[in-house]
Amino acid sequence: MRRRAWGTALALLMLTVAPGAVAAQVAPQVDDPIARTLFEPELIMQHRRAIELTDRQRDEISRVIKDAQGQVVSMQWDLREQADALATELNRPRIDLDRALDRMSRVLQTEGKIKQARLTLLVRIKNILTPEQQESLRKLRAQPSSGVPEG
Amino acid sequence: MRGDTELDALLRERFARLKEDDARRTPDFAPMLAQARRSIADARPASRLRVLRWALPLAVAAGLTAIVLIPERAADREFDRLVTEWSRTSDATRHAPTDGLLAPATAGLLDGLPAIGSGIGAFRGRL
Repeated sequence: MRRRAWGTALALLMLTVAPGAVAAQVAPQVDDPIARTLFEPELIMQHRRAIELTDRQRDEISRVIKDAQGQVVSMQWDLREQADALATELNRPRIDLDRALDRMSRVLQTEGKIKQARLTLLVRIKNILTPEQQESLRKLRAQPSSGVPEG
Repeated sequence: MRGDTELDALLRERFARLKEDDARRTPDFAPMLAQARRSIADARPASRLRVLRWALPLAVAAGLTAIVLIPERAADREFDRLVTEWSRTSDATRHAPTDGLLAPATAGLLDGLPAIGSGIGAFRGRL
Protein backbone atom coordinates (compact mmCIF):
# COMPACT_ATOMS: atom_id res chain seq x y z
CA MET A 1 0.00 0.00 0.00
CA ARG A 2 2.76 2.36 1.07
CA ARG A 3 4.80 1.37 -1.99
CA ARG A 4 1.88 2.25 -4.25
CA ALA A 5 1.58 5.66 -2.58
CA TRP A 6 5.27 6.31 -3.18
CA GLY A 7 4.86 5.26 -6.82
CA THR A 8 1.95 7.66 -7.30
CA ALA A 9 3.88 10.48 -5.64
CA LEU A 10 6.87 9.82 -7.88
CA ALA A 11 4.69 9.77 -11.00
CA LEU A 12 3.08 13.06 -9.97
CA LEU A 13 6.49 14.59 -9.31
CA MET A 14 7.71 13.50 -12.74
CA LEU A 15 4.61 14.95 -14.39
CA THR A 16 5.22 18.24 -12.61
CA VAL A 17 8.93 18.43 -13.30
CA ALA A 18 9.10 16.97 -16.82
CA PRO A 19 7.41 19.84 -18.73
CA GLY A 20 9.76 22.31 -17.04
CA ALA A 21 12.75 20.21 -17.99
CA VAL A 22 11.58 19.99 -21.61
CA ALA A 23 10.94 23.74 -21.72
CA ALA A 24 14.43 24.35 -20.37
CA GLN A 25 15.87 22.20 -23.16
CA VAL A 26 13.84 23.99 -25.83
CA ALA A 27 14.51 27.50 -24.50
CA PRO A 28 17.32 29.34 -26.30
CA GLN A 29 20.65 29.41 -24.58
CA VAL A 30 20.81 32.86 -23.08
CA ASP A 31 24.46 32.32 -22.16
CA ASP A 32 25.26 32.48 -25.86
CA PRO A 33 26.44 36.08 -26.36
CA ILE A 34 25.20 36.16 -29.96
CA ALA A 35 21.84 34.50 -29.32
CA ARG A 36 21.31 36.87 -26.36
CA THR A 37 21.40 39.96 -28.54
CA LEU A 38 19.46 38.71 -31.56
CA PHE A 39 15.94 37.39 -32.06
CA GLU A 40 15.10 34.11 -33.75
CA PRO A 41 12.19 34.14 -36.22
CA GLU A 42 10.43 31.48 -34.12
CA LEU A 43 10.43 33.83 -31.12
CA ILE A 44 8.89 36.60 -33.22
CA MET A 45 6.30 34.24 -34.66
CA GLN A 46 5.34 33.09 -31.18
CA HIS A 47 5.00 36.58 -29.74
CA ARG A 48 3.95 38.61 -32.78
CA ARG A 49 0.69 39.71 -31.13
CA ALA A 50 2.39 40.67 -27.90
CA ILE A 51 4.97 42.83 -29.69
CA GLU A 52 2.33 44.21 -32.09
CA LEU A 53 4.22 43.18 -35.19
CA THR A 54 2.84 45.16 -38.13
CA ASP A 55 1.87 43.61 -41.44
CA ARG A 56 4.71 45.48 -43.08
CA GLN A 57 7.26 44.11 -40.61
CA ARG A 58 5.85 40.60 -41.03
CA ASP A 59 6.17 40.88 -44.82
CA GLU A 60 9.75 42.22 -44.57
CA ILE A 61 10.74 39.41 -42.21
CA SER A 62 9.12 36.88 -44.56
CA ARG A 63 11.17 38.31 -47.42
CA VAL A 64 14.51 38.13 -45.60
CA ILE A 65 13.78 34.59 -44.41
CA LYS A 66 12.98 33.55 -47.97
CA ASP A 67 16.29 35.04 -49.17
CA ALA A 68 18.29 33.26 -46.47
CA GLN A 69 16.45 29.96 -46.87
CA GLY A 70 17.51 29.47 -50.49
CA GLN A 71 21.15 30.26 -49.75
CA VAL A 72 21.44 28.15 -46.63
CA VAL A 73 19.83 25.02 -48.06
CA SER A 74 22.24 25.06 -50.98
CA MET A 75 25.22 25.54 -48.63
CA GLN A 76 23.99 22.71 -46.41
CA TRP A 77 24.18 20.33 -49.36
CA ASP A 78 27.75 21.51 -50.00
CA LEU A 79 28.59 21.10 -46.34
CA ARG A 80 27.30 17.54 -46.27
CA GLU A 81 29.34 16.59 -49.32
CA GLN A 82 32.48 18.23 -47.93
CA ALA A 83 32.00 16.63 -44.51
CA ASP A 84 31.61 13.22 -46.19
CA ALA A 85 34.80 13.84 -48.18
CA LEU A 86 36.64 14.75 -44.96
CA ALA A 87 35.29 11.68 -43.18
CA THR A 88 36.40 9.46 -46.08
CA GLU A 89 39.88 10.96 -45.86
CA LEU A 90 40.05 10.49 -42.09
CA ASN A 91 38.81 6.92 -42.39
CA ARG A 92 42.03 5.77 -44.10
CA PRO A 93 44.49 3.78 -41.98
CA ARG A 94 47.17 6.32 -42.83
CA ILE A 95 45.99 9.86 -43.43
CA ASP A 96 47.54 12.40 -45.76
CA LEU A 97 47.60 15.35 -43.34
CA ASP A 98 47.78 18.06 -45.99
CA ARG A 99 44.86 16.61 -47.84
CA ALA A 100 42.85 16.17 -44.63
CA LEU A 101 43.54 19.77 -43.60
CA ASP A 102 42.55 20.97 -47.05
CA ARG A 103 39.28 19.06 -46.83
CA MET A 104 38.63 20.44 -43.38
CA SER A 105 39.38 23.93 -44.55
CA ARG A 106 36.62 23.55 -47.15
CA VAL A 107 34.21 22.31 -44.50
CA LEU A 108 35.08 25.24 -42.26
CA GLN A 109 34.63 27.68 -45.11
CA THR A 110 31.13 26.41 -45.80
CA GLU A 111 30.32 26.34 -42.10
CA GLY A 112 31.46 29.94 -41.94
CA LYS A 113 29.28 30.88 -44.89
CA ILE A 114 26.24 29.28 -43.28
CA LYS A 115 26.92 31.09 -40.03
CA GLN A 116 27.36 34.32 -41.97
CA ALA A 117 24.03 33.84 -43.76
CA ARG A 118 22.37 33.10 -40.44
CA LEU A 119 23.89 36.16 -38.79
CA THR A 120 22.84 38.29 -41.76
CA LEU A 121 19.27 37.08 -41.38
CA LEU A 122 19.16 37.69 -37.65
CA VAL A 123 20.67 41.16 -37.98
CA ARG A 124 18.20 42.06 -40.71
CA ILE A 125 15.32 40.85 -38.57
CA LYS A 126 16.57 42.85 -35.59
CA ASN A 127 16.82 45.97 -37.73
CA ILE A 128 13.19 45.54 -38.81
CA LEU A 129 12.03 45.53 -35.18
CA THR A 130 11.61 48.72 -33.17
CA PRO A 131 13.64 49.14 -29.94
CA GLU A 132 10.39 48.70 -27.96
CA GLN A 133 9.62 45.42 -29.71
CA GLN A 134 13.17 44.23 -29.05
CA GLU A 135 12.80 45.04 -25.37
CA SER A 136 9.47 43.18 -25.24
CA LEU A 137 11.02 40.16 -26.92
CA ARG A 138 13.91 40.15 -24.45
CA LYS A 139 11.43 40.07 -21.58
CA LEU A 140 9.25 37.43 -23.24
CA ARG A 141 12.28 35.26 -23.95
CA ALA A 142 13.25 35.38 -20.29
CA GLN A 143 9.82 34.05 -19.31
CA PRO A 144 9.28 30.29 -19.28
CA SER A 145 7.63 29.30 -22.55
CA SER A 146 4.19 27.70 -22.55
CA GLY A 147 4.92 26.29 -26.00
CA VAL A 148 1.67 27.69 -27.38
CA PRO A 149 2.04 30.40 -30.03
CA GLU A 150 0.15 33.61 -29.29
CA GLY A 151 -0.26 34.73 -32.84
CA MET B 1 -107.71 48.51 -45.55
CA ARG B 2 -105.24 47.53 -48.07
CA GLY B 3 -105.24 44.06 -49.39
CA ASP B 4 -102.33 41.69 -49.27
CA THR B 5 -101.65 42.26 -52.94
CA GLU B 6 -101.25 46.00 -52.50
CA LEU B 7 -99.01 45.50 -49.48
CA ASP B 8 -96.90 43.09 -51.38
CA ALA B 9 -96.51 45.51 -54.26
CA LEU B 10 -95.60 48.31 -51.88
CA LEU B 11 -92.97 46.24 -50.13
CA ARG B 12 -91.52 45.10 -53.40
CA GLU B 13 -91.30 48.70 -54.59
CA ARG B 14 -89.58 49.85 -51.36
CA PHE B 15 -87.19 46.97 -51.45
CA ALA B 16 -86.31 47.74 -55.05
CA ARG B 17 -85.73 51.41 -54.13
CA LEU B 18 -83.49 50.40 -51.23
CA LYS B 19 -81.60 48.08 -53.50
CA GLU B 20 -81.08 50.86 -56.05
CA ASP B 21 -79.96 53.22 -53.30
CA ASP B 22 -77.43 50.69 -52.02
CA ALA B 23 -76.24 50.01 -55.53
CA ARG B 24 -75.79 53.73 -56.11
CA ARG B 25 -73.87 54.26 -52.86
CA THR B 26 -71.65 51.20 -53.16
CA PRO B 27 -68.56 51.91 -55.23
CA ASP B 28 -67.76 49.67 -58.13
CA PHE B 29 -65.91 46.59 -56.95
CA ALA B 30 -63.85 46.13 -60.11
CA PRO B 31 -61.92 49.42 -59.81
CA MET B 32 -61.41 48.72 -56.07
CA LEU B 33 -59.95 45.34 -56.82
CA ALA B 34 -57.78 46.80 -59.54
CA GLN B 35 -56.53 49.52 -57.18
CA ALA B 36 -55.76 46.97 -54.48
CA ARG B 37 -53.80 44.89 -56.95
CA ARG B 38 -51.95 47.98 -58.12
CA SER B 39 -51.04 48.98 -54.57
CA ILE B 40 -49.75 45.47 -53.80
CA ALA B 41 -47.72 45.54 -56.98
CA ASP B 42 -46.34 48.98 -56.04
CA ALA B 43 -45.54 47.88 -52.48
CA ARG B 44 -43.47 44.89 -53.56
CA PRO B 45 -40.63 46.83 -55.24
CA ALA B 46 -40.68 49.26 -52.33
CA SER B 47 -40.12 46.50 -49.79
CA ARG B 48 -37.46 44.98 -52.03
CA LEU B 49 -35.83 48.37 -52.24
CA ARG B 50 -35.97 48.66 -48.46
CA VAL B 51 -34.28 45.27 -48.07
CA LEU B 52 -31.72 46.19 -50.68
CA ARG B 53 -31.02 49.42 -48.85
CA TRP B 54 -29.74 47.34 -45.90
CA ALA B 55 -28.47 44.29 -47.68
CA LEU B 56 -26.38 46.07 -50.28
CA PRO B 57 -24.14 48.00 -47.85
CA LEU B 58 -23.85 44.87 -45.72
CA ALA B 59 -22.82 42.80 -48.72
CA VAL B 60 -20.33 45.47 -49.78
CA ALA B 61 -18.92 45.67 -46.25
CA ALA B 62 -18.62 41.87 -46.06
CA GLY B 63 -16.95 41.82 -49.46
CA LEU B 64 -14.49 44.54 -48.48
CA THR B 65 -13.70 42.80 -45.20
CA ALA B 66 -13.05 39.59 -47.10
CA ILE B 67 -10.85 41.44 -49.60
CA VAL B 68 -8.85 42.98 -46.75
CA LEU B 69 -8.73 39.97 -44.41
CA ILE B 70 -8.21 37.05 -46.77
CA PRO B 71 -4.83 38.25 -48.11
CA GLU B 72 -3.77 39.17 -44.56
CA ARG B 73 -4.63 35.69 -43.32
CA ALA B 74 -2.79 34.24 -46.29
CA ALA B 75 0.22 36.41 -45.49
CA ASP B 76 0.09 35.26 -41.85
CA ARG B 77 0.00 31.63 -42.94
CA GLU B 78 2.87 32.23 -45.35
CA PHE B 79 4.87 33.84 -42.52
CA ASP B 80 4.22 30.83 -40.27
CA ARG B 81 5.19 28.47 -43.05
CA LEU B 82 8.44 30.31 -43.78
CA VAL B 83 9.44 30.46 -40.12
CA THR B 84 8.69 26.75 -39.63
CA GLU B 85 10.65 25.88 -42.76
CA TRP B 86 13.55 28.04 -41.61
CA SER B 87 13.45 26.37 -38.22
CA ARG B 88 13.74 22.94 -39.87
CA THR B 89 16.57 24.12 -42.10
CA SER B 90 18.43 25.53 -39.12
CA ASP B 91 17.94 22.30 -37.22
CA ALA B 92 19.79 20.41 -39.95
CA THR B 93 23.01 22.29 -39.10
CA ARG B 94 22.46 22.59 -35.36
CA HIS B 95 25.67 20.62 -34.98
CA ALA B 96 28.44 21.48 -37.43
CA PRO B 97 30.68 18.62 -38.65
CA THR B 98 33.70 20.17 -36.94
CA ASP B 99 31.97 20.79 -33.57
CA GLY B 100 33.63 17.70 -32.18
CA LEU B 101 37.04 19.31 -32.63
CA LEU B 102 36.12 22.20 -30.35
CA ALA B 103 34.46 20.07 -27.69
CA PRO B 104 35.54 16.43 -27.95
CA ALA B 105 32.98 13.93 -26.73
CA THR B 106 35.53 12.53 -24.22
CA ALA B 107 36.07 15.91 -22.49
CA GLY B 108 33.18 15.33 -20.12
CA LEU B 109 34.68 12.08 -18.82
CA LEU B 110 37.28 13.95 -16.75
CA ASP B 111 34.57 15.82 -14.86
CA GLY B 112 33.46 12.58 -13.26
CA LEU B 113 36.84 11.79 -11.71
CA PRO B 114 37.53 12.41 -8.02
CA ALA B 115 40.19 14.86 -6.80
CA ILE B 116 43.68 13.37 -6.87
CA GLY B 117 46.31 14.68 -4.48
CA SER B 118 46.56 18.28 -3.28
CA GLY B 119 48.65 21.40 -3.78
CA ILE B 120 49.94 22.92 -7.03
CA GLY B 121 49.57 20.69 -10.07
CA ALA B 122 47.11 18.39 -8.40
CA PHE B 123 44.34 17.20 -10.65
CA ARG B 124 40.90 17.94 -9.44
CA GLY B 125 37.94 16.47 -11.23
CA ARG B 126 34.52 17.86 -10.54
CA LEU B 127 32.48 15.44 -8.51
